[in-house]
Amino acid sequence: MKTKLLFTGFLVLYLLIIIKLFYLQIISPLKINQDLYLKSQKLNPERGKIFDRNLTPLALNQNSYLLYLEPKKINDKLKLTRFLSEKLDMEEASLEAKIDESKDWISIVSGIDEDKKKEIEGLKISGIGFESQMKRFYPEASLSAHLLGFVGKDKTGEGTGYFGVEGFYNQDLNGLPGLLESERDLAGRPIFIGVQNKVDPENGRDLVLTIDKTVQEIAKKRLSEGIEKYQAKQGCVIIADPGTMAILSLVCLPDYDLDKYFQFSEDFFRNSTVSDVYEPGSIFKPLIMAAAIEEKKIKPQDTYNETGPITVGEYKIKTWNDKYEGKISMTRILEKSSNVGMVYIGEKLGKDKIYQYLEKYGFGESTDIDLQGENSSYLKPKANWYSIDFSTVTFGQGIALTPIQMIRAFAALVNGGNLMKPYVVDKILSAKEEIIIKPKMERKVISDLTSQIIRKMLTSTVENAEAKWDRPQGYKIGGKTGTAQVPIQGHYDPSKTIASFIGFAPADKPKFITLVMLKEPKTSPWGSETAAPIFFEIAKDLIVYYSITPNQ
Amino acid sequence: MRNFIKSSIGFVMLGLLVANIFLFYSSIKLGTDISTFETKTQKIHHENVNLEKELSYLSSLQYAQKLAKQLVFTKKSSPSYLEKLIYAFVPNQ
Repeated sequence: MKTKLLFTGFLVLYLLIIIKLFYLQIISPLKINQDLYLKSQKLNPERGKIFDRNLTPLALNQNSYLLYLEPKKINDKLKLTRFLSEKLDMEEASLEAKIDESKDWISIVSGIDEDKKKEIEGLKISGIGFESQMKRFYPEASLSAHLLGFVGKDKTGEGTGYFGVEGFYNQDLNGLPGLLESERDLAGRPIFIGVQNKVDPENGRDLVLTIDKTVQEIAKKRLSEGIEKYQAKQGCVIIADPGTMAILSLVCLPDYDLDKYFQFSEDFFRNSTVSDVYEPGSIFKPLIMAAAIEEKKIKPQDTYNETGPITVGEYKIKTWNDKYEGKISMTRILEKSSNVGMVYIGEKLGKDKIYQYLEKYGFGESTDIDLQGENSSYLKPKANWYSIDFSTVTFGQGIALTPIQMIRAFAALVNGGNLMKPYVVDKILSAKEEIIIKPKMERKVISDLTSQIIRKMLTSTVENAEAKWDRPQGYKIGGKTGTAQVPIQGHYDPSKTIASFIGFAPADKPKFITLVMLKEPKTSPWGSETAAPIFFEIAKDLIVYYSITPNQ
Repeated sequence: MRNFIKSSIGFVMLGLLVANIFLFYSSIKLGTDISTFETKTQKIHHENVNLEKELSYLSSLQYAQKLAKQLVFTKKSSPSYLEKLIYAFVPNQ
């Protein structure tokens, strides 16, 4: 009887439990029950790394922490604010204002490094916590600031790339976030028989640049010395492989500290080589010369009688030093950088052909270089050109272009006539695949023969130029100087110039092409006395670095 | 026969109870293990990132320059030889 009673008792209890469970799970399921155990977490992907062409890192990720406060756990608010303001270099008052005691969690500052975290943790003040994050680390500091760009925050507080490669390849570098859904007990341990879903994040793709770290270092060092020596306001250097237009180095000074980008104004972030337009001046002359040779309007040995200034409409065009040599060859026009000689060549070539070649060289369209912030120059419609425009454009005035457009067009002159698309990313690497970026030829601008002729003329220009430079001995180097006056309020200011030099070596089969630009040098306004010496210093270093043998 | 069935049910119940306790314990242990491995993986990843940072810094041109400065591997350190002096060096005169 007793057993039966016990059995019935148990049966009733079990029945009650089953009914309660049925009620809780089927009739009235509590939503809170799901949230209590099932934890969802966004898994952040790691941002892709950036390497130079030799796979040495230019931008990596490092551990960093977000410091947060839990106001309800703070025992001594005064001590905490005093300590944190000292450690974080923050105003005590602003820190105190941030602490809202009605909240459970307040974010204070991100980007705290490992050492500082340990230091803060060491004092064991209650109410302080850390959340693991990642931030960029630049082993070479700001060696390639304009080229790389930086990682800032977007409107939602997520990391996003701005400017340069970081901006252009932001989607590739960002990767895709993952998701973890895991049922956990009250101690945070996974419940083995519960829901355990994990979608792994896809880390950002790594980028291998065409940039060579050593070449970049050479360019930056020589440019920095040059800016100091010639007291220029700003300077830029682009070094590229003329055959492919793979950029080997791209530097502009002054630049900014990538780690502390937020302390700089937006002006510092502009990459002048792709974002700013300028009048090129005499470095433009070989482009028109090559066009005239290609169209068989002139030959290098043809002569021109340089007698004095020439008049176009109401304008008078002179040579840079107002000196005239009489009968001179086409090569000599480049050597002495004769404006009047170039006007003569322009007339031989004709207005239609001049405009046609400007378009062929890619002016008026963007180069589509893979850097954020490229500005395509504006080439006004042919109908809006006056006669004087066709004359001045032959010596690089009255046309505005970006330095990257200039070096691309000039590279076409020396590489056999191929207009190439400039690029800075060589490979995109992910766990699944490797994408190799191949050089892209846009179009053929001049023939191989014209290219050979112009290379010889430019070699002669360097060897017989008005200025004498400390050139590397035994090497054939081609190039051209340029001095462009800066247009201010409708007229040119003779005291403010953009001095430039574009050169290539070895002249027979160029390994590199380099454009050096200095904005408003004070010691001398001329490209031949400022930009050219910087170019030859860079060339000397590159000849040693690439082990180029003498050919003279 | 009845006693046999009774004791069999008792044994089965006991067995199920032990199995239940074992399963419960195993799942908790497994959960703890997963937690431990998660922490360890995270720690190793952290260390890897730190090592990668250190390695890249030590192989950087910045570090080489800093070291060269410290070791005075600069133009200043080129030696001056005193063997072919034309004038005698007399200190304090």
